[in-house]
Amino acid sequence: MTLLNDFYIRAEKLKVPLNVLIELTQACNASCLHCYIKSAKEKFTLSPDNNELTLKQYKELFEELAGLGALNLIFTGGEALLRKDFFEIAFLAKEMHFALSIFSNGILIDENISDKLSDLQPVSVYFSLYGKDSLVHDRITGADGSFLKVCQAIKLLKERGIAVGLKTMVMRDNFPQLKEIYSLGKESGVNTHDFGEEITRCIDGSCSPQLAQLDEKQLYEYYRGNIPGPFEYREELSKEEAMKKQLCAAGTFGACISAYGDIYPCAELRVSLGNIKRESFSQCWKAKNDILEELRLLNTYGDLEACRECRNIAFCRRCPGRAFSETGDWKSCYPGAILRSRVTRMINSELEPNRKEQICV
Amino acid sequence: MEIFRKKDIPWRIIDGKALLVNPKTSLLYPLNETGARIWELLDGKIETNSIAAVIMDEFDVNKDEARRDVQEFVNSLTEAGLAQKL
Repeated sequence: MTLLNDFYIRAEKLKVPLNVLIELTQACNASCLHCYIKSAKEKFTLSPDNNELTLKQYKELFEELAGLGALNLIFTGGEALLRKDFFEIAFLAKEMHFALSIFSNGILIDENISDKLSDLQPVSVYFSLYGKDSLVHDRITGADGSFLKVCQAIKLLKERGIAVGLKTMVMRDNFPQLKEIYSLGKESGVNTHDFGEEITRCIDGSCSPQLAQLDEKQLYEYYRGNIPGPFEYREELSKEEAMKKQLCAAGTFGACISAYGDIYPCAELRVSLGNIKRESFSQCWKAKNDILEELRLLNTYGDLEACRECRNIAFCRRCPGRAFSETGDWKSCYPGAILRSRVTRMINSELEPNRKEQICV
Repeated sequence: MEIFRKKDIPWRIIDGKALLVNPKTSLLYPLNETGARIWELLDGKIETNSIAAVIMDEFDVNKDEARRDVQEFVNSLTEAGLAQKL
């Protein structure tokens, strides 16, 4: 066993929330089609509201998280940089030896902010990139000029030696530009470029973000295509092996804290474990709580009744948060998982070596 | 010689083992119990020889071994940009 694995195993055994996503504000200067925080009717709130956590509350929270062993803090929003005290909060976390990552749309990043980020030394700053040009990117973000600003932000941070990652949600509007978006990431010299296509419902239950999702034909083309990499055929796992596949670590390694102090197992699994305005993070994290106990006890696909009898179990990459938002039960199967595992299985089968011969036989 | 942990290095010790992150390179540095204890002691207030004495006491190694191990370890931390000499 490697030292790193050993560290993670110990952390898991002790239920250390190693990775904590912090939604610093719900305010945002963009209005993305697929945003899970707010539905379209409420978007473009530029000022954080008074009920959001204060600097003092963050100080107490960080002290507690550091004591529990949390290491990675990911600051997100809304747009995290809209908080006037963003750097006070971030430097507070830095002093407590957290590894910091920031998710941003890049709109507010100028020379001055870039210099401050350089002093902060985050492990990485991740930007959303949705198009190869203003036409598509700005249409998706709903913010004029956002494409030019994110390109500028990437340049400013790269010049200062800050690791930059890109995140692209592949959807109907930008699917035709996928190749060019990928190339743009390469040309920008970013450190990582992640692609995803599964869109979550809004936290208020609205399905409107999912209207932007790829349809089945596009999903097939996307999986079958070469971006970010070619689909690689893999021999189907036996049922026994597939049942041993690990579920996501929400509620064990990871947690999410909303701008208002609500604690969730992850950003997508919005089952409140408590609120840090009323009780400490530790109390909530260690409390006897049905959903936390289940998340920590049920570790493999085979532990879930819904997965055990599924013929596509070997190809499924289920998300407990999406299952919860679509069915009300994180353990249930849900339409997105059915579709994606079926399409993956179909492509895998098409790419099976000697397929023709097998069919002839 | 006094060596101290760089203050901008993110790190945690969990159940005796440590994980360090170099924010400039994003590299992770997992440490075993001895390494984690040395890291904990590298606050710039204790000389490496005194750290070796603690390691000798706590980890059942002889003086020469402890001194050599501590020296090699702090050298590698310094090379990796995680610690620096006063």
